[in-house]
Amino acid sequence: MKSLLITSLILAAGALVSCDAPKQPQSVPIQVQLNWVPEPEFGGIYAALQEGLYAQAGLAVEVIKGGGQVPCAQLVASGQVPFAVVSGEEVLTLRARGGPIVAVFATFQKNPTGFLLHAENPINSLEALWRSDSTIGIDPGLPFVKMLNERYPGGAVKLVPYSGALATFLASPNYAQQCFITSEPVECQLRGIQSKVLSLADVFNPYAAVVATNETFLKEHPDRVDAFVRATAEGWRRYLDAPERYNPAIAALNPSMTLEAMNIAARLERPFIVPEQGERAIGTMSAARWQSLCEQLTATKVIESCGSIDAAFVAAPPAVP
Amino acid sequence: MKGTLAAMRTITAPLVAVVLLLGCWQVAVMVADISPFLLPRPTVIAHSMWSNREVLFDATLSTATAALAGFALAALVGIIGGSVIAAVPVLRRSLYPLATILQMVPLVAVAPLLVIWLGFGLPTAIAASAVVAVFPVLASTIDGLRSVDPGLREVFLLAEAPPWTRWRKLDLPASIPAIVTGLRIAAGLAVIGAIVGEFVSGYGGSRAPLGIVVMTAMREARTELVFGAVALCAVVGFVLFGVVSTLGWLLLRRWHSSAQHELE
Repeated sequence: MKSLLITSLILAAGALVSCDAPKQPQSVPIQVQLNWVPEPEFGGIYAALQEGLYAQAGLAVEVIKGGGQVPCAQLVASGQVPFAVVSGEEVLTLRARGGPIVAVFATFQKNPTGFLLHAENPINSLEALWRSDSTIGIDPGLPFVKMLNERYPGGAVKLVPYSGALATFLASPNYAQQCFITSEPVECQLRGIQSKVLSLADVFNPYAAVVATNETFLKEHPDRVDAFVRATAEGWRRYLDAPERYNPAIAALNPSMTLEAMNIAARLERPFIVPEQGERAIGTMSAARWQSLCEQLTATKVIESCGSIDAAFVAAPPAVP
Repeated sequence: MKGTLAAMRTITAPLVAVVLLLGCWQVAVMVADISPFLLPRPTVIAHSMWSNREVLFDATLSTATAALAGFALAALVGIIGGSVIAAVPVLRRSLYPLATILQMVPLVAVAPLLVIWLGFGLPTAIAASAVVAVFPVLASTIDGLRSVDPGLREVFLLAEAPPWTRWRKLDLPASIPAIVTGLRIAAGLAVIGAIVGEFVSGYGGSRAPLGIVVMTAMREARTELVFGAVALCAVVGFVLFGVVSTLGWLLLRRWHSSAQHELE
């Protein structure tokens, strides 16, 4: 009898506690597939993670490291992951092949891609590079190769696969390779190697890195997309204000890039990320920029048509119903 | 007549299997309405291969050259090296375990080093192909030579035949079944090695081999062309395997039971 009474009291107390306790919203697990290893080019995502911005928005975000051969655009278009970092040209190319991918956040407002050369290399322009007989390390299939072939015909450049490392570059004085202005040149600088960069932005200026989702996810979960985009934008604002606070955690995930290199890279990337309108507009995109990319891709016959440009991106965070 | 019927049976069975598989694939993709960027229909792949026939033809020739040269190098090094290792007990004890360990080294990790040592283009693809194909030939040669009938070897010793004569007249012929088996395995591996080599060293543009065509098509989300290029990789491997098998059969058909039962 006594034990029955005690049990009843415990159950009643438990019921009271469960009634009084505020209901914690259940976090929704969300994966973000990166297209490269953890570096400052994803600083905003890691800052949002460290500051708990995703958790506050009800998202349990898992960041998945990428690499050169990870088909991020296909992964997100097929629904394997809800979000992935891809390039703007990958969005339009895959959409042209029937992939339901949509850009929702642009990391870079200006293209940080270029070609890395040794400082003593006499070549000083894209035209001179493309009309030379240099060997260039570059990812096969990048659309700007066709564009440069058309713009500067008659060259004898030898295109070889980009390894993602500097070993070949360091061993060959006349070798050039694709680079992010915020990555490989910094590594050269820290190793005491004199280098220079020929920027691609003047001739090819797409949104070089965008966070993309797929049409079905956007349609079914506009609230999650909205929450993710807002948290990511806030993460970028905090990261750009104090990258040194967040870089140690990123450096711990990527032993191939030193903390010092990450701090330099973060400072270098700021002008490529912050739009003319200021930090409040971080991540936003315009139809004119997408249309310009579409025209370049169709002119070089990478794709035949782009379909509806407005369907390829979400300019601002979607409205929550 | 009996032989012709057997040969027809041998060819017909896999052909029917392939046609059935492609038919099921076509129907399944259409019924399930799978997007072409995920899994294109076989007819779409065939159309893409025809549209890109010039690029694919040049790429196939380039990859076949690398695979064939790599295979030839692996065969040469494997048979000669295996013969030397099998003949000298000290070498067998010291080098064979080393060769086994080297086989465990992943080619993908070694390939970037080959680029630094040998440069871009064909040399690295050939080396990658040879590196991955040499071990089966080496191992099968050593096993074949060590399995020679001791009684026959005794006869050669009694006749005081010099080592070279014994190797030429007894050891090598007796090892041919094992060596052919090693070469068959190496034929498929040689193509895989060549493709991995091309992933890190292949030239783009008009000289692009199949490895680069695959990477380019993947980047451009042309899944049907990826399938087409991969199918041609398999064709190169299959042809190389077929040539080796045929040569092996010609060598063995008169005296070895494995070749005599080949067509059954």
